[in-house]
Amino acid sequence: MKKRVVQGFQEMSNKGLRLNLTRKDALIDFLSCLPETLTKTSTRSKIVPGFVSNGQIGDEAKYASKFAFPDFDIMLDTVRREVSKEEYNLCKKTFPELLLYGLKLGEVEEQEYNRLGYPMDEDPCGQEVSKDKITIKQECRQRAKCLSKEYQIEQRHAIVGRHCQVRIKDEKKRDHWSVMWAGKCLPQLSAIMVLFGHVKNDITCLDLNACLLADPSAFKKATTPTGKMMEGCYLYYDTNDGQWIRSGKAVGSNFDKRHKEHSKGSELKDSISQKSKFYSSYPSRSVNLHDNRARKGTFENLQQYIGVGYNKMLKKNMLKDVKDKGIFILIMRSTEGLMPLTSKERADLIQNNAT
Amino acid sequence: MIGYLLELGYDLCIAPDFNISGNPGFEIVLGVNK
Repeated sequence: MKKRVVQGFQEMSNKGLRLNLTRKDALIDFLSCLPETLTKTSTRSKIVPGFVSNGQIGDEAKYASKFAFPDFDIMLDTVRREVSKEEYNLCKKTFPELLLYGLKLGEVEEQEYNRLGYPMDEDPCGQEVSKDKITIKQECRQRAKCLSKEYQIEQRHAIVGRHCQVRIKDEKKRDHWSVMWAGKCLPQLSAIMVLFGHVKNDITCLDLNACLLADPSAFKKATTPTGKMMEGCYLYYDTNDGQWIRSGKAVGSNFDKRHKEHSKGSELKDSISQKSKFYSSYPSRSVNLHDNRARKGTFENLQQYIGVGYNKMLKKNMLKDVKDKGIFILIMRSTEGLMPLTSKERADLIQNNAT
Repeated sequence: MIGYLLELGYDLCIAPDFNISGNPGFEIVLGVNK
């Protein structure tokens, strides 16, 4: 087995894989024994006892049943403090109702627990912690939920709505036709991102606060001779912190020009750049700040990558309406590019989006 | 408009805790200058 793994690494090395020796040896050792480890551990008899011991499934031997149901008493035994008789009875009495609620929405909302009389959670100091105000933005603090439930999927689709609420201060502009148009075209853009391999393999297990973008190795650098001259959408990756931190666009310009503008801005030499969250969060190394609290990194540690880049001379392909076998829904008045919409076109777009 | 759309799409994929952009997207169209 080890011989085959070594051969595999050699073939990948010939195709350009570069790993340091220690990491490569560790991977070879790990992968060589992985099949045997999985064969021995990933068996039903090894996995089931863990779920039986916390009550999530019943003990088949105890219940003499092929389909062992969750064990209420054992599940309650997992609570690390003493459960009072009142709490025990409350759980038993309200379980059917909670189950129906969970089956419908994929989770039981905090208000429902409050309504049924469940005590609030406590922090390590014994202080009650209210979860009433926790929204989908603090999903990690919510109770368990089933992410594949239809209702939960709909909640995730509301991500554009959340973006508007946070970023568009003027409420009247949150249903602006441009936002609606974007919502209509995002599915196509999502498909492009998946096609490019820019999205993580399995996003079903990620919460709303997680980054959905793949590792930088899936992206082309905007700093190559070819990339520099493109326009479109670029991204910045903090190579020190290992995080994607910003997207941007270069239109009527190119990635190289925008990067140079950002580099200049990061020097914080004028009032406009000093007010910029981007530049104050990632100022140039040359800037000597009196207060470093706003600094999240250094501009020199940022690598510019290409999200979607295109050659300016060939961009007409992106400007075909979906009805003409194009990608996006566009309303155009000439082949030269997008034109401002008339009030009637806007009204039509809004109406179409509403249906 | 396409540029704004692309920027917004990728912006939405970045983890909110690390995303340092405060731009709503479509700034000129919305009449919001950030």
